Parts: sequence; C-alpha cells; structure tokens
Amino acid sequence: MQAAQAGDIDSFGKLCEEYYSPLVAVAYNALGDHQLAEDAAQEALARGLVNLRKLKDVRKSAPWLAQICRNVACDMVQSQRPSAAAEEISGTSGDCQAHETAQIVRAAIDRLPASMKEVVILRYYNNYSYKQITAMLGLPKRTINGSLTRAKRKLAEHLRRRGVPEDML
Amino acid sequence: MKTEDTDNKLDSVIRTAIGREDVPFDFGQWRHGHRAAIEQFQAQCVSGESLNSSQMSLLRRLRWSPVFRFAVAAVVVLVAVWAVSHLGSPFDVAPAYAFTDAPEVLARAATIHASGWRYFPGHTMPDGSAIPPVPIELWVDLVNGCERQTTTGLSAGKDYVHVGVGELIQNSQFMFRLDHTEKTSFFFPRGIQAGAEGLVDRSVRLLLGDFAALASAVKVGDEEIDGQECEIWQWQRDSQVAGPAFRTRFWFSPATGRTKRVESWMKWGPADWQLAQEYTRIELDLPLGEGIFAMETPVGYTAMNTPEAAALPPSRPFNLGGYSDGRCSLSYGAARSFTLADGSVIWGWWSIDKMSQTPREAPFADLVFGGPLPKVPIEFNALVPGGEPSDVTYWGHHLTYTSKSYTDGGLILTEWVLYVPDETPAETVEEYDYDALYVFNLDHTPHLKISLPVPYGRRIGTAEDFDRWVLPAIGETSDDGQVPAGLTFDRVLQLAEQIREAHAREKGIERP
Repeated sequence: MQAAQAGDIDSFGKLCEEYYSPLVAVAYNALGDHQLAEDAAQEALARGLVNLRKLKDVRKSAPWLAQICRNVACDMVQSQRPSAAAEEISGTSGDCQAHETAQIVRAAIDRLPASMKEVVILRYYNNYSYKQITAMLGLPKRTINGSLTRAKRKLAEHLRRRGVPEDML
Repeated sequence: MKTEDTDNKLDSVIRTAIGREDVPFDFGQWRHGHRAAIEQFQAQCVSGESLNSSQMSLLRRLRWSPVFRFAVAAVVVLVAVWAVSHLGSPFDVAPAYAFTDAPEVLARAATIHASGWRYFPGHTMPDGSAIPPVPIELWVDLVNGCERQTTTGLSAGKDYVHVGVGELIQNSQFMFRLDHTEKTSFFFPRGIQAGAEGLVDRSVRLLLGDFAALASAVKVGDEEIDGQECEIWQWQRDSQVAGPAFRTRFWFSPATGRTKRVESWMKWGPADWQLAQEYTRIELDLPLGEGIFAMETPVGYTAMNTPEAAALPPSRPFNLGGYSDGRCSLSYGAARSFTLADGSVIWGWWSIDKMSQTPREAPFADLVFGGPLPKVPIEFNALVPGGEPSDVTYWGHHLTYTSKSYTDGGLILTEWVLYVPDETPAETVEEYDYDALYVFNLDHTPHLKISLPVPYGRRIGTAEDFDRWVLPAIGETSDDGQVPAGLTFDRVLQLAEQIREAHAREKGIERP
C-alpha cells in the first residue's frame, strides 16, 4: 500500500487484484446484481485511487475501500427483476425446487440487518475465510463469528417457516 | 443445539443461493477504463498533493519534539564518549554525519542528479521471462524549483505486457508529461505544494522514501563506492494483510553525509525479495545542462493540450452513479465547482436517461440566463452546506450549458448553474463543502437516493480568477473548447445580487 501511495500503479494493481472480489461482494450486498456489483467495485477502486494518498492508516485500507464501495453501491441502488437474477444464480431453470429454495434464501438474507447481511454475503458469495472477512471489514474475528452465527440462526428459522425441508437445514 | 453437520447443510443451501465463482479482475482493462482517475492520482503523486499529513510531517515533528532532541543529545554524548575512548581525540577525525542526516544533506544541495533502473517485480513477460528494466533518471534544481524524472507504467494481461515510459518535468507553474511510448505531451497544473519547499520534500522523498522510516533503519554492512567508505543501512516493513513487504537499502557516506545509492525491494509472501528500483548513482550540485527542464513537445510528438488549458485536469464524462429499473437507465456526473467571493457557487453537472427517446438537447432549448434549470432526468436544483444541518439553501439558476461528444458516453450536455444562498452561510462551508439536492423529471419515481457532495472548489475573487479558472473549466466540457458567449464575472455577480435581492424581498428582509 505504501508503494501504491507513493505512486506505484503496479502496486495498486496488486491491491486491486486482492480486493476486487470482496469489493464485488460488498457491492452485491447493496445492489443484488452481479454486473452492477462489478461496476460498483471498479468505480470504488477508481475513487479509492484518487483518494489513496489521503488514507492515513494503511492497515485499514481494506475496510476503507469497502466503505467507498458501499457508498458507490448506495448511489447505484436499483430494483432488479428477480426472475432474471434467480435464473442466473440457480442455474438450470428446470430444477424448480432448487430455484424456489434459492429465492427463499435470498429473500431471507435480504431481511437480515445490514451489517449481518454483509457478513453473510462475504462469507458465501465467494466463500471467503473468516480471516479475509475480518481484514475486509476491519472487525474482530469474534464479531464476525457472532454475526454469522446469529444470521444463520435467523435464516434457519425463516427457511423452516417457509417450508424448506428440515433435512436441508 | 446445532451440530457441525446441520451447519454444513445450511452453509451449502446459502452458498447455492448466492454463491458465485471467484470474480476475475483484469487490471490492464481497468487501467484502460479509468485513465482519468490514474492521471489525477499521478498528478497528486508528482505534486506531493494529498499525502496524508502524518507521513508528511513526521520527521519534522520528531525533529522538534523535546523527547527527540533529548534522545539525539544523549546519542551524541554516548557516541562522543565512545569515540574518544576508542578513536582518540574527536579533533583528530573528519566531521562525521549520522544516517538520519541524509535528508537534510540532500535538501541543502543546489541540484540533485540520480540515475538507475526501474524493475517490475511481481510481473513477468507472457513467456515467463523477466520484464527488461527501464533506465530512470532524476534531475532536480532545488534553487529554482524545477524537476525532471522518468516515469513508467505497466499494464499486463495473460498474453501481453506493455511498459510505458515517459518523463515528467515540472516548474513552479506546471507539470509537463512526455509520453515516449504514445509520443504525446500533456500539461498539468501544479498542485497545492508548488514552490521550492514542496519540491525539496518531494524530491528528497523520491530518493529516500518515507523520512520517518529512516529512524528505524538498521546498519547491515559497509561497502566502498567511488573510493568512499559507505555504510549500508536497511529499512524494512513486513507485508500487511494484503500487499507486499518492502525493503530499502541505502549506501550512506558518513564522511560527506551523502547517500550514494538506494535500492528498493519488494516481496510477496514466501517468494524471494525482488528488486523494484535502484538509483545506482546519486550526485549533488552538478551544473545543469541547457533545456533539462524545457517544456517543449518534441518533433513527432502530439501536444494533447496547452499550458493555458492545463489549469484544470482533463475532463471526461466521469460517471458518478447509475441506476436502472426497466423504465429508465440513469447516469449522472459532475464537472468542477467554484465558490465566488460573494458566497455563491458555480457548478457544472449532467444527467441522462439512456432509455429515453427524447433528444438530449431538448431540455436545453429556450433556457435563459438566470432562469430555471433544464428539466433533465436528474435536476440538481439546489445545494445545502455540508456538515452540520443548516437552514441555508443555495438555489440554482441557469448560467449556460455546453455539449461534448464522448466515445464512451455519447453526447453529454453539461448544465452550468449559479447557486445563490438564500441566507448567509456559516463560515464552515469551506471546510464541509456542499451537498447536492435534486428532483427527478421522470414519469415515475425511481428507487434512487443520491448522496453527492459538491466541493467548495477554488475561490473566485476577481474577474481575472474567473477568466483563468472558471471559463476554461466550462470550455473543457464543450467539443470546441469554447465557452458560450457573454459569460463574464461581472454579469454573474450581478445575477447573484439580483437573486439575493429577490430572496430578501420574499422574506421581507430590508437589505442595506
């Protein structure tokens, strides 16, 4: 990061490669659309670069970029067509039960409190480790763990009420 | 109580619902699409602008802190005692410098010349071989505040590597970039650190890096360079959560206080250290050859702009946000903003609906100077002071508009607005900038919330300022670079005054 701050674009490129994927997940949390989330992450990196030299604590670069990405995504909030997204995510449209379950799960995740939802998205969108989530959000592992546990408990309850078979929970 | 097994099943259900393959990232493509941001960043780097103040001034603060002075005094005494006991009388030896004097010795020079090589650690050619290093050179005239340095840029993909080489020349007014790869030249305005003092800090940092880091350097060896005994000092920072580790080595002559060589290394994870840059020759007080700092476009190169147009960064339709809901596809962006001495604000912005069949020029027909704003999809009709809540509102009045065709945004019509406060704003407005208010001119209300801060911008106090800064900013948003006729400082001030009188009449306030 220090090299990037000093003007080494290639070092910034390394950071981009490191952070791009989790930034997409952060943006996806707000936007619910993969393509828009990628646009938001790319825009966040551009805004991050322009403001890079204002960053005082390089250890907080990841949560700093995540916050920029949240801001960008907030500006891009859109109402998407759920059917299109569902097709894209669940794969085969013929698998009706899986399709329906995926929709129920996404709806349940949408109902989670914002901070909890972000942790869930980061954990499952690209399968990030606790360590990666900790670095990205700048939160202690204990907090991440607690958020995920509570989120999963809420999700399980919601899914159970919606008739998702117990053996899937 | 849940078991590990049940948790895994739920994990799998969630992952199936929202999981996605790792998202690939192509930095080369990103660079191509975000040139404006990169140029802005590079301009900051060369001007020293915006580097956080804690890094900028740490050594200076350290230097003057009582603790530091005491520590220095204690070290001096200890060294003196050790020297007397081991080397004899201190008057028998030449005056010696400590390594931490290196920045000061460089800063006292009249000129600095350094040459060496830049490498590209972490990257290889598509066939796996090393990317050839680029020779680099630095010339600094510390007396007159001029600098010339080699710049490099690398973009790489799976099957290509592109190394761009250029030079950046700067004086007290401009930065002039020569791109030897594209054969172009470009003028940038100098940043806030223009002047000899800023130049000294920046140039010394180019060679030595972060001053504060020097205090934690350790001596790792000795070597003779050009017949002078040099101490090798090393500073190292381990890698953080993300990013490489850094190591810098300095060859320092304690007899002269001069730094003779500097190497910068980088390391990713368990990989070996890789050389990123080296200045193999550093010379002070050399005479300057003619034309070293000349800002002239060489024969065969294309001048991308002129010094006059360089007062402002290059403009392009910088898209601040977007929104799409099946009924509209909105984009909006902003040009520059300025605050006039009377407190009113000039700001340019644009918004479009890509799904609209209406010609983009249509809302701009029949606009009048000082009248309502165009009914574009998102109309930024007012500003409020940023920071704490305020009762002041800056209402917008049309000044002029410009149009420019972009390859990646089509025709963009930028609306230039005069925002006049309806009450006297607080003095903190300069610190907190402004927030934009807006209305939608659509047949439905989109689920879009815009949080758009508008910078206070440069303060415009005179007609000369207006002509120098505002008009070129407006001109840069038009195809021909021209500003619509009739826009003058006096006319804008008169309009602002008329609007203030109208505000006062509305509120029944008697004005002096």
